[in-house]
Amino acid sequence: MSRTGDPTQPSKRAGSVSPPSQPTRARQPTRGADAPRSLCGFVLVLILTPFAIAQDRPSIEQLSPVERQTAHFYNALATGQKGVQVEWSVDPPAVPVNGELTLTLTIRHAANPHELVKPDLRTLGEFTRRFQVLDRTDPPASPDAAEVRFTYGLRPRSTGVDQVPSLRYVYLRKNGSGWKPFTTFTRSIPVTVTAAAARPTPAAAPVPLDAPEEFFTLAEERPTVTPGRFGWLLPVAAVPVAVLAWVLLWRRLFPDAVRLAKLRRNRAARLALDRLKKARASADPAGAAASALRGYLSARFGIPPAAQTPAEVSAALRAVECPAEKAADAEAFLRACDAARFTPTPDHGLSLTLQAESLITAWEEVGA
Amino acid sequence: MSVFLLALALPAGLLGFGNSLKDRNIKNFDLDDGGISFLQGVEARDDAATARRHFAWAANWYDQMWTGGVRTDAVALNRGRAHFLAGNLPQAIRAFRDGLDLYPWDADLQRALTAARAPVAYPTESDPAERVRPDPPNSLRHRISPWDLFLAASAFALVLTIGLARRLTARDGWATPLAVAGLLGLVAVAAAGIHIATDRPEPVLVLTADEVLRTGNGTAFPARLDAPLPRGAEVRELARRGGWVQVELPGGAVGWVREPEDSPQRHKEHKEDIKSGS
Repeated sequence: MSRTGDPTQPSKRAGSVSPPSQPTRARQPTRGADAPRSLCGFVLVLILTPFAIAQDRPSIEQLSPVERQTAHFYNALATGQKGVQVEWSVDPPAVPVNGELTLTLTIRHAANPHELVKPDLRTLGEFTRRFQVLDRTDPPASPDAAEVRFTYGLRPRSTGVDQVPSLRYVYLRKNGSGWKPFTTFTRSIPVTVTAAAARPTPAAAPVPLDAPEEFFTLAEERPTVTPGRFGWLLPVAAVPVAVLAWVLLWRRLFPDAVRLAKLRRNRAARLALDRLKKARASADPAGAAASALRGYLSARFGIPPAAQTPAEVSAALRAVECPAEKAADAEAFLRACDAARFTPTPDHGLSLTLQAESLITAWEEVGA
Repeated sequence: MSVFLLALALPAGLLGFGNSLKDRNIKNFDLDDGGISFLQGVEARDDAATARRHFAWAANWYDQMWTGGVRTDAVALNRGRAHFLAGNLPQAIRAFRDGLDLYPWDADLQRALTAARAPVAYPTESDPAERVRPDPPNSLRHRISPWDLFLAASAFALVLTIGLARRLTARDGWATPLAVAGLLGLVAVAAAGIHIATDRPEPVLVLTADEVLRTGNGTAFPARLDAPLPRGAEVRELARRGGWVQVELPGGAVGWVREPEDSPQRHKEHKEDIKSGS
């Protein structure tokens, strides 16, 4: 990088600098030592030479307070023609955003290396905007050091940082009896700042799954049988079949009941049988049975309603040419009913109702 | 005797005319794969992240089974549970609803749907028409199973049979009223069956993300409600137009929401938006 203050292209002020005087002054004592040839003189020269050199080495003590307060002046004095050279170096050139790089400032050709001060980058906005400057300690330089190195720890503030900016470095060079300031710069150095490396986060404690408890149950397949389209008709279709089977079976199992059912088709017999059925639950079963039989005989054979006693009923039946057996049976039944009514028996006349049904059934079959 | 005859006739009728969904559909599928993943998720339930991966895999498997035709109540239940445990709440609700569409009387599915709706953040409505919380599954089709109807029909048929048989044989006085009662019962069961058969489930859209209900099919239309419809909300789908779906809230309010992301129409519209640069 070419700058106005670069030692290789000195500025107008630098161009007026006088030739360095240090080597000349350093050699003077040596040249003066050629005269004495004695060993003592040589030893004396050897002893006095370092003091002479030290006495001729430029020092900031020779500067006026105003010169010392020159901006960006870090006590560097130059006596040679080259002037002071400064250079940045960075290690490593690529760091993550939270990483740290080492920046080294190398200063060469300074006449007073042991007096150089470390530039404080934390006071320079160009650096503090880009980096966090960390403290580093450097070993002191010796007065004879060819170069001085100052190291810095830099931590990029963002991934947008792409370079280490140049450093303005002012040094003073001997100019006759005084000192003239010269400015040089370090070359900016590109750096690469990558995204912060993902910090391995500690494994989070496992969190249990929260859900209704029944959701953690695996439902098992079960036979899913539903009534089919025609299955719905089954209950309806079963009705006539069941009724038919019921009737057929009933007829087989209860033939007497079948006959009674036939009798029910005869109105007189049906009424008599219904009355006999009710007679069983009545308070006077025998009387009710007798009344039912008389009603049946009146409707079926036409005997007069006035015939109430057994003898009257029997006479009436004979009058209508009813068989004598029927008349006798009817008379006997009615007498039995009277006997049951006025002479209570254990069955309370219930058997008489069944007897009456048998009589009516027998008479209807004969009649049929 | 009639009971005995019916007891013989009913199983024969069921075997002859009934349809077994399990035997009809499951024969080509292996239930173990999804079940194993589900059980692995159950074993890993103390670590939600790990368990959810297993449940997501199981849910994917049950989705494939369902779309492949294996639509039993157990598959519907496991599908919804796996989605729920995998963290896919809308898909879980969708799965439970799919199951209830086929098995509306299934109490397990009804309970599961109710439990899945619990995490949905339904907004508080100021107007009953703006109610977003869906009705619980308690209609007639959700209360009466086919077996309930069948058993009721069988019972009333038995009553009718007894009434008719007694009327034709012993001529009991109660036979005729009993037969009439049985006949009326059969008619009532038939009416209930017809009502259930005609009460088909309506197409419902389950929102996969919070969506603003708008008065029109575009973002330029104002919002119909103050709060967006929550993720997992169930709305009745009325129509679709231009990547938007006209929906009706359970309360009755009608509006438009964007089609879900997985909708083919939504993908097509999205591509057109990209082409037009909008």
